[in-house]
Amino acid sequence: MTTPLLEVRKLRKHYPISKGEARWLTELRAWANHTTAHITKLHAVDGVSFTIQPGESVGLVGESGCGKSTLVSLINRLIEPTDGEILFEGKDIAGMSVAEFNRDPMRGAIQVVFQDPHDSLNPRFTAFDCIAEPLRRLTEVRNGELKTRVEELATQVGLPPELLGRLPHQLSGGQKARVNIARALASRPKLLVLDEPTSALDVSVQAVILQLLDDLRRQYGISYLFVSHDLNVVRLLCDRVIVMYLGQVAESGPADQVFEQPAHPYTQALISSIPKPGDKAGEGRTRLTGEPRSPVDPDPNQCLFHGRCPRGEARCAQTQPVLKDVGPGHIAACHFAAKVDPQPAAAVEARQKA
Amino acid sequence: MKQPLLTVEDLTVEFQTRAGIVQVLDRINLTLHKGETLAVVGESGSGKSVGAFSIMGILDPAARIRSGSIRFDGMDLLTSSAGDLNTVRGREMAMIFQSPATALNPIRKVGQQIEDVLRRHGPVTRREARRRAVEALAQVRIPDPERRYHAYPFELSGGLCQRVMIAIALCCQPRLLIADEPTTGLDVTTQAAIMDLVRDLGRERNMATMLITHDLALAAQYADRIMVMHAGQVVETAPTDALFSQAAHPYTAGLMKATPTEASSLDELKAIPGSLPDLKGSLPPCRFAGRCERRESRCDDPGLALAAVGTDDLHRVACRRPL
Repeated sequence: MTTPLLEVRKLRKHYPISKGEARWLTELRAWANHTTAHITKLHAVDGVSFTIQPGESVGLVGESGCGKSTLVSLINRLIEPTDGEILFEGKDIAGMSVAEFNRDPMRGAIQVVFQDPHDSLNPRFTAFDCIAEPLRRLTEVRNGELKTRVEELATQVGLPPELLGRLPHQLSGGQKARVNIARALASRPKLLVLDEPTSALDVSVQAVILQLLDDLRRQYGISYLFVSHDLNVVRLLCDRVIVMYLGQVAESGPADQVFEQPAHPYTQALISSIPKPGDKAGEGRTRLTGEPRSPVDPDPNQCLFHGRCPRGEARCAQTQPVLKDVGPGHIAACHFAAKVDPQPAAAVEARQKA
Repeated sequence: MKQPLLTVEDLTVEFQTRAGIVQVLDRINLTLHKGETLAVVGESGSGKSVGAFSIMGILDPAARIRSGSIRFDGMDLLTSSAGDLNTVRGREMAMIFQSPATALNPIRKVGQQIEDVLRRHGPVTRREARRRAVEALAQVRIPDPERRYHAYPFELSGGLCQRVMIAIALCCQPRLLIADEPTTGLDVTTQAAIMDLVRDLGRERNMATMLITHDLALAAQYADRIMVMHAGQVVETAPTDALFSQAAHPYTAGLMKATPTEASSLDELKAIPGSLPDLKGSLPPCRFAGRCERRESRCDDPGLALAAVGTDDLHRVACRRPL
């Protein structure tokens, strides 16, 4: 087995939050009482582990507030993790400080495409400047070759080179998305993190961008971590899917299998919430009630999904389920997750038809 | 045939900008009956929201209504006085706006914001208004409504804010609800819950709903009829099933091919070439012509109108070469 491109081990990000009194006061009081201070913490990412193989495309799904974007920032080393390891090609980058990582050659190897194609471009930079910026900062490309390289990148993502002189507000949504992708590709990354790259685009444009991303992956063998809440999009682009709930991994496995036979009740609810033409009545679908629990100091002896879960039994309120194998490469954190059928009849039939 | 609740006829709206006149809506026609759900679908910039704003009478000052009429239950909304409009708006017809975080007043408790609407539309005592506000919050299935009455919008999640918006819209029991992208930016699970809520409340009260969305799959699941708009024109209107079994306009078919579904593979996805035409200056009769693969010379002849597809009078398309 080759070394994975990215391996994340027990990664945590906790944010201390103040509850009425200043933290130094809490600490002082604890010191005076000879106890350890209890500081209230928001568990944004709480012990997440996964791997990405070279050339693999992994989808990350979950509702807003589940820690997807925090995880993206952690992997890109934009924020400091509380605890855990991030191994990139076997080298731990979690220990490095953010400032140190910025000057590391590894910086160019992990790049990110941010959510909003408009807000993530500098309004005073032309498309050319946007794409040239990482080349200037992270690569050896210098003035002479800069122009050719930027034009090459623009062509790669299907942006007409004539548009390179334009400012972001003079470009359409699809064109801005392309500038963002070209910028991320400029330093020839090995891992591209895509944080909802198409959520701000119309469907007619989304289709081209998705196809472009798929082509780029095939052509250059880049690995993707694709964050999205559109499950139909994830299904199209990803080999594997990770489902997050309240900062933890609820389920992860091969995309086909997770979609065909979701093992975690949360995944089941997610999948049945996708609107489907023709499914007018919508009855018999798993519906979630209520809101997710607060990520502030979650009870370690309770399933995170307890209270919203349609199943919710006594056991769920007493012990937190651990991730367990439910199939080849397929894990789920539920006491009641049953083993999935490795070769479901329906899936095989569908594949034969195709 | 029953009298429709809402009739829009030949509505044409322009915006005056520094760069010239932008022709935002071009002869829009629509009818909506009691208890019916109509979805208006199209890309951003197709005029969906402007249509809704015209009906509600809350267009931007730069907008000018060139022609057409909007009739709501026998009342002509375009010629009515501002006072008459104010009594109808909020009570008889209500709107849910796109982003709940910006549509709600950030410095007023959500309960008070519901009370504001109740007190504006009828003599209610303070205590009665308060009781009804809590009731409205409970009706949109907000857990613990007594406590949430005192919450400010920033204390609530996106899904809860949207429920408050719905509570505000529905507290006076309107007969027409316009929901402008009610679930954009929300998670799929929340989206499903909000849409189920709108549908169930609509059914309970026999309310007419106009659902504005860019998501064809969402429209298909919740609407009885779908109206597809492109660049300010209605290109096709049909009962949901008919539209999906037999889309007649190339744009509708294009949208369907571009929307990823459960069964589609990446190669099957097909983007619609080009982008919306510039709505300033002179435009061809069919504004889709520049992006259309089936374009012919007769597409440029003037006088394009919605015509019935086959024998079905409800399924109408504005195309000279329908599929």
